[in-house]
Amino acid sequence: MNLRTRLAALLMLISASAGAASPEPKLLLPEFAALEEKAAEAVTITLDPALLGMAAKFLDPNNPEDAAAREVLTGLQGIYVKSYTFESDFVYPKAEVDRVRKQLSSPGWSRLVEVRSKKEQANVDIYISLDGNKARGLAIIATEPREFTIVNIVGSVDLDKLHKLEGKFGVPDLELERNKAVPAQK
Amino acid sequence: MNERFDEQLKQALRPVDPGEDFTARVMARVTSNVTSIQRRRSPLIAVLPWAPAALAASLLMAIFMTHDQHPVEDPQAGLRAREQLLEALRVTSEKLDIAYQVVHNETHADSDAGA
Repeated sequence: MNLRTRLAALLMLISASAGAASPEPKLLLPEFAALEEKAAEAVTITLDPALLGMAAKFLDPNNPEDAAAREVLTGLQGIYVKSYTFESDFVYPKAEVDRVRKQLSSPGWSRLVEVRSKKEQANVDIYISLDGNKARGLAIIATEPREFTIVNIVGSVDLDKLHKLEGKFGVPDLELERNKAVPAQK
Repeated sequence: MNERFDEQLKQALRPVDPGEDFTARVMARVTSNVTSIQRRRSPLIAVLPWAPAALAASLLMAIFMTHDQHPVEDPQAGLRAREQLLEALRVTSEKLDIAYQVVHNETHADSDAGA
């Protein structure tokens, strides 16, 4: 079974089990105000529908990166990112991150992929909010000893298109030891 | 000479009876002027007396809306939003890539073991 078939099967399985109650796909993300000073690098991005619309107007169709971004934008209502990098291990409040995870344990949100790397202590969880068989939102929680990232995308998300951005944005291979992957359904 | 001038002035300013139909003539002229003023008013205002107020409100709303939309057309804000969007997609793609790599590697490991 190839990668796409496997992910498609997962999505179908999840959509079949998704309850009638659909949670709000926009998460309540903590401010993490205290981390701004501690972090070596802090990225906070808040793009509501108005800002997404504004950004779309300024995308250059002749630039491949911009053109790819425009394709992904269709159907999106918001993108919210909080990412912090530190100079020492585990200085960020795990409890705050767990509070976000708790929101994702409500009915309607399903964990699509769970990645645990023991050596690198890197974890990546991908959650999807489904309404019937239609994606309404996506959440990614990625933690490493010196970094944590929370991404929340609101709207109809196309994972395939999102992943295809990788080549266009020149994201480097992170050389993680990915020794365990548990695609899970909640 | 002064006496003659005084006499002329008294003659000129002496009370004169305007006649019995004076009041009637004044009233007739007043009525005629009012009618002509009414005729000069716009027929739209005559039919829609609230039209000027509505026009003024529309103008105010147009000014307010133009002012409100101004930031959308601000190139600095637009470029900043674009940069934020590209950065957000970069971070998302990077994290998704980790998961995809794992699933991909697992799939290959399964097929190698099966072979």
